[in-house]
Amino acid sequence: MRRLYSLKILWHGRHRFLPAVLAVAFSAVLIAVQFGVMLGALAVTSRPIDHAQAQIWVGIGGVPSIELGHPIPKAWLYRVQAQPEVEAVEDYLYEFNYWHKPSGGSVHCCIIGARLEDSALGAVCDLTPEMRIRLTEPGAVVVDETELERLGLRRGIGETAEVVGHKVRIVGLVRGFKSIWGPYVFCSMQTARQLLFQYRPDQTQYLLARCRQRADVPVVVERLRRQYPEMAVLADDEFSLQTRLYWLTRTRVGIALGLTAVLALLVGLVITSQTLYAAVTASLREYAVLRALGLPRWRIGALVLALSFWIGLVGMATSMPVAGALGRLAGAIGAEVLLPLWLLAGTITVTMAIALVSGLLALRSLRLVEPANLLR
Amino acid sequence: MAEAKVTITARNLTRSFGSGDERTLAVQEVSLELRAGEMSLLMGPSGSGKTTLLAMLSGLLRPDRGQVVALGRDLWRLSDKERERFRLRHCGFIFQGANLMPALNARDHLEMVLRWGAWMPWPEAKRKASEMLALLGLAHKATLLPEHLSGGEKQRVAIGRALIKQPDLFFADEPTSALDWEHGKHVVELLRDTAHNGATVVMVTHDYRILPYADRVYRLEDGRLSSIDTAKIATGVGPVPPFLGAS
Repeated sequence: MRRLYSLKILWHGRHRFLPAVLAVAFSAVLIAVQFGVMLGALAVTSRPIDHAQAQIWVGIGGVPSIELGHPIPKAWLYRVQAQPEVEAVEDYLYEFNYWHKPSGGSVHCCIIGARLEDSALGAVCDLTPEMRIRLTEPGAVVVDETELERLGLRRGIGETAEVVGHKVRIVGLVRGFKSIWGPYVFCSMQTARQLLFQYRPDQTQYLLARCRQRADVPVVVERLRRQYPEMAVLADDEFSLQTRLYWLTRTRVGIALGLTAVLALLVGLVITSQTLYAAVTASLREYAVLRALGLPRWRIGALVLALSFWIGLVGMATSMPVAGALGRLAGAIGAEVLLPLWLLAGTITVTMAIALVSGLLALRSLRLVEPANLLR
Repeated sequence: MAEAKVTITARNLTRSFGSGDERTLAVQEVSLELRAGEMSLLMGPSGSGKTTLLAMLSGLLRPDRGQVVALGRDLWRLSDKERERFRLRHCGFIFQGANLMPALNARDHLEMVLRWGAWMPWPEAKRKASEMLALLGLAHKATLLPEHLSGGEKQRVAIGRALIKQPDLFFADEPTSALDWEHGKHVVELLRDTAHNGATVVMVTHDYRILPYADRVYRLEDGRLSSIDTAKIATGVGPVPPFLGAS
């Protein structure tokens, strides 16, 4: 500390540099929370994949995202079953239909039909054993507790509604499945086939598989792709990522969030560079003496960059707890905000880059440093 | 006694400011020689061009015409970078204000020049800075920020900063103008001692009380050199120069 002139200057001028620190912190919080919200929203799109036990997903060739599947022959099941590493294969339905509210009106909903045994591959782990038992009853469904209003329901369990003329009854509520499209409706395969009558008995939308050894998954995926090019064969994490990326890149949600993040970067950049510029301009006479003594311009430039580095660091240190707190607050009011370590690391990198670019922009004020001006 | 070695030779220095009808000639055809071991004063009324002359002699302001040869180098034929290196190696400056950085203490200012200018390791720079501050009578103020130093102390720190790299050429622009005479006298004595230790000291001043300390006095009027006086003034042996307003 005693050796670092930049730190001394920063501490001595802390009131002057405060706006820059706050600007950096603001940018970092905005970027982290924006992307956290985006990740939270995108995570819901792939949650049926992430919370299922299936290791391999088989759908129609070229399927870009879980909700864009098409009917496939159920007989493909034998192709998968024939792989020696595969332990279990089962069918799975994921399709949209209309939910008719008890009070009138309808809403698009996403029906997910899966087998329900403990070892079933498609049922999400959020379905408790009790729910699974109740779901075996015809017309029984489970929905997210935060979706009741959208579905025209009040208390949830025991209430009934209709899906294309078939009566459905709520037998359980889960959390964490608040969808960015229509509400998820979980049910048994039998109920799903009733509600999605466009699927013939010899058709399914996906086939799910599990290997005896997890390590065999890439081999099986690769082999099936090679043997059956008309099938989309994806490992669970691959399909999950592909689904999220599709939503990020092909929908306006990702674009809107991305633009906000860019705006945050610009705000941070402008405020930080202007504060640094003003601080350097205020010290021009002092810098001019150093120049007169022959200290090279780059040395003084390095001092300004060091200042911007420290501003960035202090801003980051301030922002991370705030971003974490905002994330928890958002979670408490129902909006999911994910702040994985890689996102925080990325935010730190980008924000430090803002601080340093601000420093580079402020360097233009050093052009005004002219030692001869000291002689007046 | 052998004549002291000439370290700076200026020939026909001319410099103007502005253009067209606004153009004023600040310095016209000034030639002079400055010597090692001497403290020379540049004196004259306001606007006489003495500060402009100092800036040209020290490599800070390019003359319109003329030549400055310092320590054998033609200053205004050097590139900007070469001149920067020349200043770093050979020149010390003090200005009217001390221009100290508010955030750095007295010792930091001296250390910075050694660390950043001469790539000296920190412990050595610190030791040399402390020695210099002790020499300036500021040992006990080494860790104080400028806001806790008096005007004289700040100016002494500025002198220390300029002296720490032991420059051959030392340029001072009205270094005592903001000080009372007691502090000013101390500053002048320091500069004279610097000169008598072998440096070439050039000082712009209005302060006649400095005359007894000077080895040579150059007087300027309307941008021209009007007289040169030597150490006789200091001893009171010679005639009192006309610009002193003889009584």
